[in-house]
Amino acid sequence: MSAEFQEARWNEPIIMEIGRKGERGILMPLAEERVRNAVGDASELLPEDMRRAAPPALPEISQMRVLRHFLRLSQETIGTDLNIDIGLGTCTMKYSPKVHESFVRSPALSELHPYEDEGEVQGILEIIYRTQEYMKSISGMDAVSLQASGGSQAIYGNAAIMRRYHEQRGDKGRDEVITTILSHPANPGTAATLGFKVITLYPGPDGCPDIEALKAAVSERTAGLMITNPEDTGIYNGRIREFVDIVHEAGGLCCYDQANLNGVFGLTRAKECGFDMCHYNLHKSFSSPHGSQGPGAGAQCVKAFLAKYLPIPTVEFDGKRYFFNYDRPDSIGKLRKFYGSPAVIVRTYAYIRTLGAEGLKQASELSILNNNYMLQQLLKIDGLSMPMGQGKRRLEQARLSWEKLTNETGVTTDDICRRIVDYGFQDYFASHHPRVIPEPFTPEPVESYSKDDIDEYVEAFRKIAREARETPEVVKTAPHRAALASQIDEQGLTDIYRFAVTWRAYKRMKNGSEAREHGHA
Amino acid sequence: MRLGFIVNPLAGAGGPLAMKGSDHITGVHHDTTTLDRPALDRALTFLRTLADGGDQIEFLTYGGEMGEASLAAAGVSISKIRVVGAPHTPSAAADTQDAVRAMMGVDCLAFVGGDGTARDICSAMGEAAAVWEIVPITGVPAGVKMHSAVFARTPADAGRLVMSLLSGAVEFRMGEVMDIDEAAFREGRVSARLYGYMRVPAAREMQRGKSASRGWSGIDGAARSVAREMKDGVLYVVGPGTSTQLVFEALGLGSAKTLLGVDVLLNGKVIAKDADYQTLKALTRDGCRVIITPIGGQGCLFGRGNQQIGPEVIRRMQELIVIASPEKLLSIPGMAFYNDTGDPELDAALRGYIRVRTGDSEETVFRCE
Repeated sequence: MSAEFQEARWNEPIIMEIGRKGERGILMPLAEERVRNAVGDASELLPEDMRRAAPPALPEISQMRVLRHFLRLSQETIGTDLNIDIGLGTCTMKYSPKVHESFVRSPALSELHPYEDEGEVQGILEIIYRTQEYMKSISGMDAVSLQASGGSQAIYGNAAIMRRYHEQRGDKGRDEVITTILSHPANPGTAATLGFKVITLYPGPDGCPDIEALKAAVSERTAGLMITNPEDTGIYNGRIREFVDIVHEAGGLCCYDQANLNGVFGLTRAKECGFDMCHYNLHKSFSSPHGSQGPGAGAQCVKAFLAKYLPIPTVEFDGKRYFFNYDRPDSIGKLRKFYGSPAVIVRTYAYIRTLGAEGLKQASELSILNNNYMLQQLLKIDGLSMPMGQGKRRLEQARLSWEKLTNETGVTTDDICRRIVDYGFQDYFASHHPRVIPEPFTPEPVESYSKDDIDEYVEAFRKIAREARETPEVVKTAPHRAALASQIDEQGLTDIYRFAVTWRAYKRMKNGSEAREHGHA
Repeated sequence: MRLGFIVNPLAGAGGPLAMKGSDHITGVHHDTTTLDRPALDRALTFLRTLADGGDQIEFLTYGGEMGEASLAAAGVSISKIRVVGAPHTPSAAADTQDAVRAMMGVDCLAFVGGDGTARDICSAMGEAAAVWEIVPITGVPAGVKMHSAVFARTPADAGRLVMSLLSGAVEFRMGEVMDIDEAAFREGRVSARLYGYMRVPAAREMQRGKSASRGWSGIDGAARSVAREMKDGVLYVVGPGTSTQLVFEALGLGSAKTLLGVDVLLNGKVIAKDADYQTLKALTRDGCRVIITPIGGQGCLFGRGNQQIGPEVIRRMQELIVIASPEKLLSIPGMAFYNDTGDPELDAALRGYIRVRTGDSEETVFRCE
């Protein structure tokens, strides 16, 4: 029961509000007089136009206070290593083996600098190159770039290749990208950013996108298809090859969003499905902690005829040495500064080397098995259902609905999502936007969890569903035992006038609103 | 099976006249027999769909245009018809209620009308609620707007549903009877009220209550893109609703839109406000474009609240521009639009997949059945 759990709750200020002027963590000894005389004022060494008029507003705090601050914050967080992290469906929150951290924290990696000469960084280049080779065999594609710092950037890269490909062929009228409403929003998002018009297909009764709608959508204006499969519902679209063929016939290219590969590792490949490009989120299926919005890594995989468009530089091997190839005139250009997230690539490499081809396939099989066992148990809860694609098995995740419970008790998925935290579990992922399925809940148990873990997780929801009928107020006013003991106004997360990501912006916003309140605006 | 059959001959007559309803039609048109009365055609379509199983049905109906005349026109044998009373001329709400009272004890009831008719029936049924709450009822859609969840999607659908009652394999639900204040509606204000419930078939062919969809993400962008792409020299017929009003706003014509009526644009100017069917027929030529939004929660494109854009205008249309937010599309049962223009051939011609504007440079391809 919830009484067994109580998360730490500290009334901890923002770090900028702690400490006093002049307070220090480390007191640096003064340089010797001889040195001082020889060097003079160190700040004078900087060119004048680079000097600050005033020192930066940094926190001034003693070491113990720093430690106390961050340990308190860490007690108020919850993550994959602290709870049974099944709720964040589509995020693939699998175990990140701790032995991999020893590679990542090794000075051999952590002390590398991006401006080092290629000759001095052959080791990491080799790991990048070999990881690319693995990606080629996992996808069946012919060329790979690991430059992207995340999934969406890799999707953007693929969409940019699609645009460049049509441009180079002089095929100017192709300005429409087709996607589906249950594909990841980065697909329409990146297409729109690149100036494409986006045509979104809705699901048919089988839970898969309506293939007849696709036939009606393609034309001489079709630039390509950007699609996830399985979609967020966990339903594998068995007609995916037909989708690809229809778009190819219309002259478009096909991009496979395989950010989450966990349901199909070693079972299907982008190549056999006919795709021209695909991408993987290395920080999902290939393990890496999803650390507070990063760092991530995306693998862009393309067929040979599109290889020349991959972002510059590419990491290549001439038989003797590994090198960055910048001499690629057809490339879409750079996606980011330097090259990829080496730490995530090293974890990916270690993960693949540890599991091997058979192990990766087994990871998928186990994640499908875990998901189907979990669904069997979850769907026994009165009020929870799995709409769409009746009778169709799900792969590694599923989008469920609390609609019946909501209709009967008034308790919504958002209430349950807050209440589950009182049981010591991470809040869950409801749905991408828009909510195609009402009162959604998207769990994904991956391969890492045991049957006991899954049973424990399901039991918490069984209890909450009972609470919804017996003591709905408890659920509706949750959380009660989490670090945040009360509900926060979520508008603050989406209203640009009400959130700030820097201290300066925060102060400006606060002063601004005070000024407005006092009528000085 | 004993089927009660009631027709409100004036239902829907106000639609093509841009009157937003027909409650006050007798006050405006003293000789209602000279009006287009779509309810009579719709009653006939409904009865013809029943013809196959007709010999198993015994009709209890009201005199003249409240049922008897339609049955005669459909060729139903006189031996199968029992006329239980006669209406006043012209018929009024009290006649509908008297008809219900006289039909107590039927196995099921079908009525041809709109929200007002449903409301009259509901109030008469309230006098003997225990009797009526177990009787299956099917509304044959013939009104102007129809917010209630007691109507089939089309008259033919209503016929098929009544036929399915004969086989007995039908599930039921309680459908809401809603009606709006037509005087307020004519002034552009929507104020709907719940009047009661009827036991109706729980089938896809039944339209659901109109629902306001939550959230309107991107819809203003959709309106902007429609406004941006408008061409000079092309006539745009703009249907009712807040979504289409946004097109006017994007053109800088915000207050000029009749929220619940049909306006016509040419070269960026409003050339007809709150136009009726006759006006639209006179104004439009082949090649006109029509901008509409579906009814949320129902999915009807033509035939609910926009009967002014009647069959002849639709046939002249070169392009149909549909605006709807993803949330509104997701509220549509069966994820498909339908049409109830009163012309089944035209409804059939409008079937297929159509593009819908959901945002600026965002579209979807949606099924219309």
